[in-house]
Parts: sequence; C-alpha cells; structure tokens
Amino acid sequence: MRPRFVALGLLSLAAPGGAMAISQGDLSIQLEGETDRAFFFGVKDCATGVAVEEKVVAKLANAPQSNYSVYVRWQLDDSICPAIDNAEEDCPTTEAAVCGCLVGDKNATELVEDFKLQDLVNGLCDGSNVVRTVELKLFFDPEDSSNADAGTSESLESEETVRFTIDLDPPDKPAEAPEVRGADSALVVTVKELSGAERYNICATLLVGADNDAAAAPADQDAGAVAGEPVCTEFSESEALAGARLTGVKNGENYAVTYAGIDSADNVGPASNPTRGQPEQLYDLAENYSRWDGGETGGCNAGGAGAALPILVLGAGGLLGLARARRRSR
Amino acid sequence: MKRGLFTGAAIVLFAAPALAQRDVRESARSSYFEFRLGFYRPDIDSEFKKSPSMERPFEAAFGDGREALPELHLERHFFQRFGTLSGGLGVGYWTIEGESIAPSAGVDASDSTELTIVPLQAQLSYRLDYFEDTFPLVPILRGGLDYYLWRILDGAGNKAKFANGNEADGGTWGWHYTFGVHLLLDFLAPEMAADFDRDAGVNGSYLTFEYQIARVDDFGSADSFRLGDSTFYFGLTLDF
Repeated sequence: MRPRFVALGLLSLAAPGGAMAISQGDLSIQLEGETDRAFFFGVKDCATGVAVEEKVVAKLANAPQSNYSVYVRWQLDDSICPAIDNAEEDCPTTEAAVCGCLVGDKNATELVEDFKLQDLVNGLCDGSNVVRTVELKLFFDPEDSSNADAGTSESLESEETVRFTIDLDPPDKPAEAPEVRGADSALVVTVKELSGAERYNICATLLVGADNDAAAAPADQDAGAVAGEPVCTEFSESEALAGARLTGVKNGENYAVTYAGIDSADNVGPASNPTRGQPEQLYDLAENYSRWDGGETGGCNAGGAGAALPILVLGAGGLLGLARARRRSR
Repeated sequence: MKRGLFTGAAIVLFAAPALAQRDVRESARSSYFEFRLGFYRPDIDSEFKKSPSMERPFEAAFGDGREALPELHLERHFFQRFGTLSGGLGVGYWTIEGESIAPSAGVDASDSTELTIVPLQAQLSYRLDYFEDTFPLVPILRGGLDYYLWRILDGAGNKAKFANGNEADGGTWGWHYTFGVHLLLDFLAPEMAADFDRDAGVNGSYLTFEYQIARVDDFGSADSFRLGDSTFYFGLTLDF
C-alpha cells in the first residue's frame, strides 16, 4: 500500500436487529479492499509523506434499536488514553499527540473524513532508530446505560485492529563481510544473518585497475577505482543465507561485493564491508562435452520424451493384450 | 565327497521348508512388481580416448564414482508352464551433481553442473521358477528396449546448452539384457507367506540379485551420448 490519504469511514451500521445483546465480535474494522490489517512504513515513506489511500471500514453488526454512538479511536504505541464518556463531546478529532478519535452522528450509518496519517500524531516521522505504531479500533458506546436493548451498559471495543507501523530503525550494518565465490557469469554470495532483516540487497561494483591476482584480498585493499553503477539484486533471506547467485557481472572482471539488510518496512540498512569476487568462464557438462567434440549435440537429434512414450505405451499395450489373449484361450 | 555332502545339505535346508509351504501358495499369479537398486554410471566418457593430461568430460565433472539408481518394474505374466515368461515396463531415476570445469588451472571460481537420467525400459523376462517349491533360487533372464531421458543443468539451475546452442536435454535409445537370481523368501516363513497370499494376494516374495548390461547409444550412433553401463542390482520382487 503506497499512500496518500486516509479516508476514514464508518459504514453500513446494520439495520435494527431486535433485542439481541451486542458483543465484541459484532465490531469489525479493516481497510477497504485489504485482507491484511497490519501495514508498514519506513524511512522512505516518511520522506514522501506517510499516508494510506484506502478507507477504513468499520461495521457494527446486530445494532440495537436504542441510541448509541460508534467511533474509531487511535492511539500511539502503548499510550494510555483517557476514557471517553460522551463520544460526541469528548472525542478529539485531529492532531492529538498520542490519542484521538473520530465519531459519527448518533446512530450514524456513515462517516467519511480525509486526513493524512502523519497528522494523527505530531512528529510521527521524527527521529531515527525508532519504531512507532498507530492502532485503530472501533468502539461502541450505548448512550443510555439503563437500556437493556443494547445488552450491555459498557463501552465495547473491537478485537480487530488496523495497525500501522512506522519503522525508522533500519537493520544494522553487517558485522562481517559476505563470503563470495566466483561462478560462471555470476557471483555466489553468502551473507550472515542480520537481526530485523527479512531480505538482503546484494551489490557488486566493478573495480578498475585492481590487481586481479589478489582477488581473495579484502576489496578495500588495492581496490582500484569503482567503475559505473553497481549491479544490485534483492534476495530473500533463505536465498542469501544459502548462497545467492548474483548475475549481470562479467567473467574475468573484479568486483567489490557488499550486502545490506532490508526490513519489513523496506528500510535498507548500511552496506557491509566489501569482499572481492571475480566471475570466471566455467564449463558445465554440456559445454565441456562439446569442447571434446562429442557427438551428441541436442536438438531434434536428441529426441525426447515425446518420441519414447508412445512407443513404450504401445509396447506395454501389446504385452497386456497378449496376456489377455492367452488367458481367454485357456 | 565333501562337496556332495554340502550340496545335499543345502538342498535339504532350502527344500524342506519350501515343501512344507507348497500347499498354501494357491492364488492365481498374473503379474509381478519389482523394486531394485543399482549403482550406475553412464559410459559417456567411452566416446573419448583417455588423456594423461586432461580428464574426460564426465569424469572431470563428476569424478569416478557411481550413484544410486532406484527402479520400479511391473510385468504381466503370459506364459506359466515351464517357468514364467512376462513382459512389462520399468522406470528409474538417477541424478548426479558435480563441478563445472575451469578452462585452466588456478582459477578461483567454481560452479555446479547436474546430469539427470530417467531410464525407461520395455522388456521380456523369463524366470525359471518351475522348481522354486523345492529349490528357492530362481534364475532370471531379461532383455528389452531402452529409452533414457536425460537433462543437463548448469550452475544456475537452468538447462545447459551444447556449443551449437541446442539445449542439453533429450532421449537416447538402446537395449539391455539382464541375468541373475531371485531368492524366494517364502521358505523362511511359510506361515507368514501364506497369510500374505491370503490377505494381499502376494504369491511369492523374492530378494533379487541381477546384473544388467545396457547399451544405450541410439544403436551405435556416433551422434549420441553413450549412456549404457554394466550395473549390479539388488531388490525385492512381489509376485501376485
């Protein structure tokens, strides 16, 4: 979700449902069109303005006939927000520090209001190395506590939440440089696991003028000059820990290889120290066989499953038929 | 004299329990299923002369070892008067991973390469099981037509290519013959064998020992891989 504005809506407050008691399970909240209820924003999002485009859809099922209020309330982190006795009067609407809410009309069926997510909390994107959460919940407030029709005299809050995490804490700089193995037109890079990283960005920068014979030496020694843009690819954690194959590099050239962790909010941490690596021309079995002038050349000559299966099926069919014929003749 | 005594003792040893369970092996036989395992190495390098300075392609990539080749065979019986003649299909799966080759020594890089072969066989088998109730070793002779599907992968896990740009996968025809013995296990536990027959319809269980000679090179074509081998197999056969 890449975001502009939040449109908050209280929609579809259900038709009167008789005298059934309201319970926590009757309150639901989610972003329109989303099945997830957790969203992450990182340093880049804060630079462009943290926001979401979708509406928040809050629903009350099994609504009572008596008067009531429903409101969506937000809080920052684990803030302790003051109780709201009368939602229509007490609910702060915008730019609260840590707590706030939006309330509809009495027995409202719809409330839509646009605002920027970062306006919910002052300084939402300030600082570094911090993780903040903004949590939205739906509340139900029976206006007349003696009215048994509501089934409850207490305010209810939804079990479901919509949660925004503003993560300004990128993964740390890796303590160790990557292990790099030269392969054919590729570098196989193995990283060390980084706390908080769920992906890894691996980059290879071409070194010009480096001593190719010293390929095993650290890249920051006798590295030569960096030439051109680095070749970078993102890999999943499992790939990177097992040995990710970085392509787009040229055989015989010397590269400085670094990696950086990426967290769930797309924050990219600082790059590791570099390790040198050099792809080399290598021959797999088919290429090496060709170098030996072997007769097999693949293509149509080599047939394939399509040629064999009909013959084998025919053969099997013939044998089975023969067996049946013999049985009948007994 | 001693040899004669030994032979007589062996016959008594094998034959007595087998005779005891003869009466209980009664259900009709129609087919047999065999699982067997061999250690196979395709003879790709036989196409090339040995060089003292350079390993041939297969050996250079995969060394000189053999890898396990599990196979399943299913055959129908269609003659059961003096021994059993049957025919059917077999399929196996064999794969090996090795190292790609550097063009010169001293290259500090490495990559993998992989060869996978799926042997398909259509074959006739003759098992001399006429005497198995008295002597539980059953000689077997087999022969048939082979088609070996093969594929080579490069270090990235993609299909490798020959120098002409063709993808390195295909199939190669061939033939094989096999000889060996199947040891009838029923004589070791006749009661259990009888139960197995009554409950599951399995007439006989055999430990198998077979030696297969295969020539798989598109019947001598110079433009094909040589995937044949001489392979020893052992396994288990269920006759039902």
